[in-house]
Amino acid sequence: MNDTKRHNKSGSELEISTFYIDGMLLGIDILQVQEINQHLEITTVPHTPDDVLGVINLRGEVVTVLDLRRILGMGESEITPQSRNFIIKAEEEHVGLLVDKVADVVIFKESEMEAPPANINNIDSRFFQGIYKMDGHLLAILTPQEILENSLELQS
Amino acid sequence: MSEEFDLYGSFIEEANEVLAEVENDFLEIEEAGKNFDTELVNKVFRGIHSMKGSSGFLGLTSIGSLAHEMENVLNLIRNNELVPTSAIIDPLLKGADVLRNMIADVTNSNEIDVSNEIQALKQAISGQASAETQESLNRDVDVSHPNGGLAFVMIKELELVSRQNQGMHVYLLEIDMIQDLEDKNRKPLDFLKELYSQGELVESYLSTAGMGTLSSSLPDSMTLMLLYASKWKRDNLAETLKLDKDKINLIASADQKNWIKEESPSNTTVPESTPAEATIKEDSVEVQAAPEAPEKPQAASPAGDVAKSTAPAAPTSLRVNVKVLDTLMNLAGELVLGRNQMIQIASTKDHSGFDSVAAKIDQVTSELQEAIMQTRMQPIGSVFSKFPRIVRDLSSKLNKKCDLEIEGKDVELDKTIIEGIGDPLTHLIRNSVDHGVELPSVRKERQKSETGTIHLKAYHQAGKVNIAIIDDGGGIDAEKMKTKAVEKGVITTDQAEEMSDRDAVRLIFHPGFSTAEKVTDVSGRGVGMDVVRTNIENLGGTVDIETAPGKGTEIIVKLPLTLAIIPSLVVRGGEDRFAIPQVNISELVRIKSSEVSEKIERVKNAEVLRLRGRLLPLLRMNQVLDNKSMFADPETNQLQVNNRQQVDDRRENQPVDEDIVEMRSGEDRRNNTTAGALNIIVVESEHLKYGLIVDELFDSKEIVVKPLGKHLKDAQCLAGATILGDGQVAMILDVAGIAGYMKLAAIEEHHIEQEVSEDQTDETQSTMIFSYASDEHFSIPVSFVARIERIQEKQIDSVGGQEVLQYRGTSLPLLSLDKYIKAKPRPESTSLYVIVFKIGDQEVGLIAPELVDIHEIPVDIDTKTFRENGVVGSTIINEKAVRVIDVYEISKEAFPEWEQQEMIQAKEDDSHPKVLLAEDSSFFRQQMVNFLESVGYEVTGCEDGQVAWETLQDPDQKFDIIVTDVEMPNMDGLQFTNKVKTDPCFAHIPVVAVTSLAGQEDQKRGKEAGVDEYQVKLDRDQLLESIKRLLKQSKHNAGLSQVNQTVS
Repeated sequence: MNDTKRHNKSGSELEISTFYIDGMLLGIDILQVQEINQHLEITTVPHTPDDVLGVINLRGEVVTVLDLRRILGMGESEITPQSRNFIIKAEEEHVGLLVDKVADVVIFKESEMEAPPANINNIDSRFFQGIYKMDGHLLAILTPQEILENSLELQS
Repeated sequence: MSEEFDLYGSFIEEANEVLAEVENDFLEIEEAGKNFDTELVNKVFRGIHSMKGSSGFLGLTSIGSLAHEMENVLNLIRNNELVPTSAIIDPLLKGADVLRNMIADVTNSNEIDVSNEIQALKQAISGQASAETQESLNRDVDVSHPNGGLAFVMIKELELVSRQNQGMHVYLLEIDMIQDLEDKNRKPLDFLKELYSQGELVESYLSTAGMGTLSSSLPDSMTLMLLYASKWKRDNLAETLKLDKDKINLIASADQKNWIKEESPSNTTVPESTPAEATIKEDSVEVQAAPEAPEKPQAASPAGDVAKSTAPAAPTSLRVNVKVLDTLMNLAGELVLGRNQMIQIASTKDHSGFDSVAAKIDQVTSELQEAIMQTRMQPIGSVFSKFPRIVRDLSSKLNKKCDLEIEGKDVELDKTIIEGIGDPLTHLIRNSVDHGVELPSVRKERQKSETGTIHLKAYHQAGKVNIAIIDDGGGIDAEKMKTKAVEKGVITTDQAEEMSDRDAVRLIFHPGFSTAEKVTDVSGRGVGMDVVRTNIENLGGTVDIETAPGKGTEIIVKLPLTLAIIPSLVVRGGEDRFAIPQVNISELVRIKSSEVSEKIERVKNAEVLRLRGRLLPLLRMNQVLDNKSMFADPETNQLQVNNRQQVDDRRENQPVDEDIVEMRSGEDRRNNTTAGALNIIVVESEHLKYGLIVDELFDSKEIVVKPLGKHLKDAQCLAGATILGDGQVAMILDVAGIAGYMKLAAIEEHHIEQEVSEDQTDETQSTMIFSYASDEHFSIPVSFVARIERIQEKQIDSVGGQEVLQYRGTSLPLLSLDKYIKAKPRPESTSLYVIVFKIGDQEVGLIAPELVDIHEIPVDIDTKTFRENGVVGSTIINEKAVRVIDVYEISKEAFPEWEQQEMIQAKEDDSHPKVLLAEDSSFFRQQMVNFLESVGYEVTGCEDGQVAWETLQDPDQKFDIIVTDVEMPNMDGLQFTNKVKTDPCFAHIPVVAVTSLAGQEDQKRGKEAGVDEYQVKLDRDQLLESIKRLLKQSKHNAGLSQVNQTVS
């Protein structure tokens, strides 16, 4: 769960890149994000699980784009001008996660992270690394590895 | 740390290089036995030795001690103290295996227990070497530093003595890594290499503590102590190695047999017999364990060993020819120039000169691509080199005798393919030894030499690399295969009966099939030939098998030269574009909407295309891709009238297939111009041929293959992805995968073919049908056609009444049918086709306004109704009369002067050679009689072999040559030939067999019957050529025998 935990120079601060999916604020540790782009010309790939939206050409690399909303069990994504791809560094490749809208980068003390509750909006807690309490609402931090693996498991 | 890694890097690279060769060297040494090549042993010795040296240097103790022990054995061999028998070579080979594994994981190598291997090596020595040698080997010596203190302890005496015996001096070198190397900018490894080039390193020791140096050492000095043997004198050595003389201490000189030994008291006080005894004791304990322990890893998974050693060894660095690098540099320069020009042009207003820059960049890019590809090319020898060992080990294990002959080591392939082909080839080779080559006793019974031969060769063919594995073993029994396939439920009994032997043998590649009657330790590892096939197909290759029971088996693997860039056809299916590798495509067929219902049929609920008399299973791209969501909007359909008709009649045919209707309508909406026509790509993979209906065809392109991410790995219809010119991603289709996904089976297709061919067992001829004036159809045998050109009417010139086409710098004479035979003149049209064929060396074009089809027509055509000069006869195709053209007769009429030249050629010696022609089809017979007579032969035609045989008996006739068809009633061509060739009166007459299709199989049978040459029917030039050649030859032979007679 905590394999993304690290000790950066300032001690234990985390930078979280946040975004919305179906109105819910989520975040991913910025060090796991390669880039965020607007590459929405997604080529569909036949015979793939529903989680897979297709592939994009990321500067010559063919990158798989996953439907994050679907993986989290929140229905199917709709591509709008505000949609963005979060390109995640996976083990040997890059994988894109489609999100509805990008929000700020927020910085937190690692110690402020709380363990995720058993479920957040009916989403399985294993997708989360933890939560932060922001003014008035919650920010749930995702574990990208778990998300990528989950959709691989579904396949087999 | 990073430097250490770098050091490891070059060490690993070097060690792998040594190990790659060492195995075959060992085998060669073993084979030579007593008369081994000393140079070769020296080479191996040096290799292992330098490994030992470097590993000591890097603190890799396990590798060092194993290499050390191997070196001992090698040393004894080269000093003629050990004969390299297999008892000696075995532990060496095993040692090399273990070394390879350790090198593959250097950082953990010290944890690997090498005592078994070392013990086995020791035992090998004790089995053979003289007592004195052994003793000397077991006696330890300590080498001390001149200024006191021990430098090396427990050095084997033999190490030093043997060097002395070779005329070397042994020195103790003291090298300060910092002062002598670092400060002088010398790399440690370079220095080591220098050492190896001048002598031998016996032992090394790195002291980080700055131990006992002569001079006052710097606090951070690192001293490397080396025990070094060289033929150089001390002074010279100091000079060559660029070291201070006082750092070189002579320990033992070559001339001085009693070297300055300073054995430590502990060693001298111990009675000499004791250590010897102790070792023996140790050995005797090990004797029981040894045969088991080293065997284990070998027996458990010999293939696994290979796999293990190849897998992690995937090199991270690559050796590239400097020349190639220079080319790359040049091309990069060119590219930069081109870019600069382009930027400049972009800044101008009119963009003039852009074309030439684009052309230049295009050219440079292709050259660059080629050059980069070259850097990836590796010789296949690196894969082949491990096979001698495998064959040796396996055959001795199976009590077989087997030689491996390797050819074409230098053939180069892309490194990805080289890496991937190792395992499948290993499997094939193992199979050949295990199942192919018989036991010596069996071979003897079959009157073959006891030693089987496996021939492994790589060669280029048609832009591909072929690897053939040929054994002279027992072959595969097709009947057995069938029985087994039926047993296993792979095919039904009916299918088995219909199946040809060839196809039956191919069943070996079917999943879940193993021919070994018993599952042996060797082949029954759950990995079948189907896995081999899959692996090879994954590399873009194919594999095929041919076998002759009792004689042997040949497996041919065809591989593309490179994987990264492949020529492909880009097509559209639904909304997306896809690439189909060109290698898989055999042809493109377009069916007009009006012909769809007539040409596409349904067999067992599947669509099939009737293509030249065969039924081809069809798949629709949309069906395959399952992209139904694409046309979810049927209300907006705007169908054109003719489409509706088509859709309607489709409905009649196949009321179930609603979504096809939907898809078609969707397509039509998108692309009105091609409404209703079907583009079918006939693809071929393995033995499976099928048509893929696509929505639209684009260009043929060279595409760069990109791997797919993990999430897409399971999509079996896809072989990868590529990026098209517009930056969009397109998927590459996997033709075999699609067939698998759609459950299209080879056997089923075979079945269909059988069904069709049943009603056409008669001989057929493939002809090209074209229409001249409207409704007048003609055909010309495909074998005549050299090529087809599409031209504009205005390109035709008339020179002296003769129509010619200016073409590729020469003029091609054209023939208009209406001038020579009864035909309506051709209608005016802007573009037309020219069918080009050859008369002798001269090309002639036949004007064909419209091409209709290629069709198989039966050879027994009507030769009466339309017979005239230039028309051999007629047949009915699709309820239309089609006249078959005789291009020779027409061109004879058009160019009478050519014919005369040929007459002269045939009658060189003023005689009329007599030809006996046996041919059952009157059409062919007439054709051949015509053209043979036209060039001056005297021809007697017979309608079958029986008649020909009787004609031959006629004492009034003396034939010089026989031309015979193969398939004939009463007596076929082969029987006839056999009769001729076994009759002493006629055996000298050369026989040419003509057939409409000369398959290899037929040719083989023909050769066995005694046929001198095989020719394709109606390939006039070839046939004439071969007749002429054979006549000349037989005349020559006759002359010779006459001479012989006169002499005797």
